[in-house]
Amino acid sequence: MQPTEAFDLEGIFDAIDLGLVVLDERMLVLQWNGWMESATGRPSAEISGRRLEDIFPGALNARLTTAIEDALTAGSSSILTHTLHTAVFPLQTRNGRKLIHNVAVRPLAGSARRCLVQISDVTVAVERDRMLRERQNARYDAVVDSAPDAILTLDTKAAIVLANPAAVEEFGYSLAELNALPASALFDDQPAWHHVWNSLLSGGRPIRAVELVARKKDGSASFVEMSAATWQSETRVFVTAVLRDVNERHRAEQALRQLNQILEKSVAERTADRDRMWQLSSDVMLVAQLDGTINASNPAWRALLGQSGESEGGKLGDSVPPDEQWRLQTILESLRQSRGHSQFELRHRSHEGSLRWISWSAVAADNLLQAVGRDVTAEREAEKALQAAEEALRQSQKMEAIGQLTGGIAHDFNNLLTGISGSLELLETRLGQQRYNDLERYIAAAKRSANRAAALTHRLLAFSRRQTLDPKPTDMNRLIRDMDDLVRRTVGPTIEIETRLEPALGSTRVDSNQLENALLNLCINARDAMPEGGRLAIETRNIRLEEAKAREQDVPAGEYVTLTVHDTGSGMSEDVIERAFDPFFTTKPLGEGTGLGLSMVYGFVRQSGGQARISSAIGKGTSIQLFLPRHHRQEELAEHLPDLAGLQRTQNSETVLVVDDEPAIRMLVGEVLEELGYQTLEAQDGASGMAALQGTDRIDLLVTDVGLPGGINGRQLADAALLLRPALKVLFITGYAENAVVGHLRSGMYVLTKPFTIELLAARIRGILAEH
Amino acid sequence: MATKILIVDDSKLARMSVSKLLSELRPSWVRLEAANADEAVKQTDQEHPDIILLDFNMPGQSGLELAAQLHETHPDIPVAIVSANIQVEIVERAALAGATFIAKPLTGPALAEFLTAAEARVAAR
Amino acid sequence: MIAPESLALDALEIDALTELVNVGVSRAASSLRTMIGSEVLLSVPAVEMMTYERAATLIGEREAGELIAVHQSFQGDISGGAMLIFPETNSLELVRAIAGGALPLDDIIALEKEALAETGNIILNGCLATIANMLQQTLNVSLPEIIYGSGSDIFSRSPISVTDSAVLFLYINFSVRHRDIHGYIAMLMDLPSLTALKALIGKMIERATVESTSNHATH
Repeated sequence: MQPTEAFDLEGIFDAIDLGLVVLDERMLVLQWNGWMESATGRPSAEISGRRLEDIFPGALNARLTTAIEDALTAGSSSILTHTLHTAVFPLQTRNGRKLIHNVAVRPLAGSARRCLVQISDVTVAVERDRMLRERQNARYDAVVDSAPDAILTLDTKAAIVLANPAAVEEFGYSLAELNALPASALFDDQPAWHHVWNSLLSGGRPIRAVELVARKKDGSASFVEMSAATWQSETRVFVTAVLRDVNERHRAEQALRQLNQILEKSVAERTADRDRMWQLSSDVMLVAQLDGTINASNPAWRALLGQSGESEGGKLGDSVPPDEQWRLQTILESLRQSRGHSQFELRHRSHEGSLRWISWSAVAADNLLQAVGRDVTAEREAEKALQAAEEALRQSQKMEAIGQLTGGIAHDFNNLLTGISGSLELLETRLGQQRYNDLERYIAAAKRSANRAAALTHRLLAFSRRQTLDPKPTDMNRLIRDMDDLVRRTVGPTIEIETRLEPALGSTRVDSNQLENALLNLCINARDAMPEGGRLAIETRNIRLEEAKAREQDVPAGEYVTLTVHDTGSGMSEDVIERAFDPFFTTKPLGEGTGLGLSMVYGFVRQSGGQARISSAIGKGTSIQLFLPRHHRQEELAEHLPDLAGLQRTQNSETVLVVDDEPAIRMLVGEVLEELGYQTLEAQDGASGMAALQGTDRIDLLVTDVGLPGGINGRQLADAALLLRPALKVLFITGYAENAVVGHLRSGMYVLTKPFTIELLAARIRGILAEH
Repeated sequence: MATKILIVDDSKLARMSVSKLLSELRPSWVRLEAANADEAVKQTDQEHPDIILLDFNMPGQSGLELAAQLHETHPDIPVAIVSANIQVEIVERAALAGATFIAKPLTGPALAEFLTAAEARVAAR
Repeated sequence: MIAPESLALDALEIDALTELVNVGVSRAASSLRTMIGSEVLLSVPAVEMMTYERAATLIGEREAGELIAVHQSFQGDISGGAMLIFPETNSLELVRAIAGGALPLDDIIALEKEALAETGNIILNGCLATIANMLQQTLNVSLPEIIYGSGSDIFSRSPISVTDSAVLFLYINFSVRHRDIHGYIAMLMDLPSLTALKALIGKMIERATVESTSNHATH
């Protein structure tokens, strides 16, 4: 070797920009070059002959030692890169910064075993690369690091290459643990993961929002939504996946699903319940349109109507009998209008043809009718039966009463008729014998009987409460005094009678017959309450009822006259008092008494505008008080019936038309009229009466029976007559049943009730015709 | 009776090599051989060796697994695992399996050391 | 396993070679373990001698994708090229397994090449140095370089000519941090080298087994 070459080589040794260390076979450092001196700060001479471990105590690694050994013994070459060793040697750059280096260990050729260690400075390159990478990654990192979703980069074997902080948080693994972790370890459902992974790799298209169940490090499950795409770096393929935590959403969905299930279940249960009710109910159930067209009906309805199978349709009205149709329509209409709840009863024709009462409860909502009905036929019929039974009972009681009454009446009438006919026979005999004295006696007897018969008839009429009362101003005291005899005879000798009559008693407008009857009834009751005898008091008084008291008594306020009958009899209990005025109510044993007396009294008093009151207590006697309105027109018309002979004959030639189908009546009335000096016309029925009225004859008064044959009754005749002759006066003669027919009396119309006396008739006619 | 020693290694060469060393160190001993773990178990049951040498790196059941198994079934037999793979984890696991760790390639002194200790244990049994 | 008849390795020779290689990779494993601080298991379950073509096609059959290889050439009585071959997808895994604890994840992708080169260097040196020691030889081993490509691409980069070569084909299993990675080591030699190897192996066997006949319990 030329000296110049050796010089050049030596120069190169120190000039070269590499660290060079020469070691011998004992692994002692022979020398190192200028670069090393600079990088270590130690001159070669200082360290020559020493072991590396001694030069760099504690700083060297085993690999270097092995590499040097291998180089010396086996001739191997080794590299130690900065990628796997942060610093093989502790070296510094000229700026004092850490020198990043790669090391190569080579055997040296030559006679002696030598080893060369080369150190190359890669600091700049590494840092430049790092900066470049950092810059490239900076934006990516900013997004990825701060992303709330876990972001993983996987290699083609699905091992995690990169993971962001969110991934650490999501899965519970540390960053080091996530590194190189197979992604499949993060997922619960391996087949699902593999399916997703494979489709991603093979399809080449990104996947979006696939929901997967992830498994955290602690084993707990987590719901994630994964989106992933493949990308390439040089020849390498990578996958970046974004995993969003959707546990909240999943919980919400779960809760919703559960809720739905619960709802569905409860709806299903309720529906099942309703279905059961619908099917099993014995009440009929309908869903219908508002016009009555049936949409759905339950089995009970079909059973009722006898329709089998699923027959929908038809109308609600189909089964309703014709006479109830209008009611059905009204009900439907009101349901349509009010759209509220409605309850009503209808009759329906069942399939057997029988009519059944259905009690409906219906509601209209959502343009549909929902109705539930109960068959109440049995109840209705039971009600009816009860009513019928009550009616029958009443009837039978009535019949019994009537039986008794008619029996009694017939008996009485018999007696009276016997009296009358007997008297007339005697009269006949005397006349035949031409014995004309004492004839008045027989006539009087007959008249008396007739009067009594009339009175009896009145009582009967009062019982039916249908007679038209003939009220006149009456002096009650006088009436009582006139009845004294009758009362005494009625009550019998064992009873003491006392009268306490108000001296200046006001008058009252009553039907005196009725009043007589009433008094008599009260006395009879009093008598019956004192079978062992006692005291009876009859009292009259004037009183004034103020508002409050009047209201109590259910009468208008004002002045009244009272008639009270006291007895010292057994008295009445409260129950009896309550029912005393009821018709047919009697405390007497069957067969005795009809129970009609007090009811008649009550009826008469009420009709007269008054009131009746009972005060009684068991063992303390009874007082029955009648209130009658006081009449103030000081018409003290005495009920003196003038003799027929005393009546003045009329000067005018007034004409009276008498219409009655009973010839005897016509004769009687005709006779009376003639005596009074009136002209008479007669007709036997409405038609001929009409004909007469249509004629030109003068007619001032129409006296007509109410009940007439031939289609026109007395009232109708009178109305027609008044159309022709507005000034015509009318006197109706009525029987007990005809009051309704008479109706409302217009002015100029009068009523006389059969039976009546001749005197009464004459007086009425006179009175009517005298009024002009 | 002569001490019996079982040599387990899948490599014939290795077995031969060890056998040679043993013949130098303990000529009087009986040397048994097995090529894998199953054979080793059979040999142990049949021949009742006093000491066993195992290669670490074997196909099938590794030397370490075999050592653990032998430790259960024959806890009195001293076992050594021979391996070039000197890693602290392996040494630890060998110890847990009740076996000594000797580096490969096997050197005279290293083997002699083990044999002495093993003899003492056998004698103490 | 087809080699020229005279150079076929018999069972014992294969056995010896396998044992050699296993010892070699075990040393590499312990070396790696020191570096990464986590248990590393390396094993060579099988060794085969085969032709160049066979080796190339074998890898092609087994691995569908691209391959990555760390190549080192060696010189001495035995000359040739040694390659540590991985499917490309495995290599990153390997590097990450080796370097993962220390490096930030994104750095690994960037520095993959260098890290792989060193890793390959460690493993290959482990084998080569052991072989050299056992055979009492010196091999001049080059620094590692990275090669990408298919099986044939990789093999063609070796300086050894196609026709006149034999391949010592090794399956290698790598287990680190609970990852199992498989790869291959292929050592290409020319025929003279193969002859020399065979001779050297024979000597090694002699050394190891001579004087071991007495008291040998046969079975």
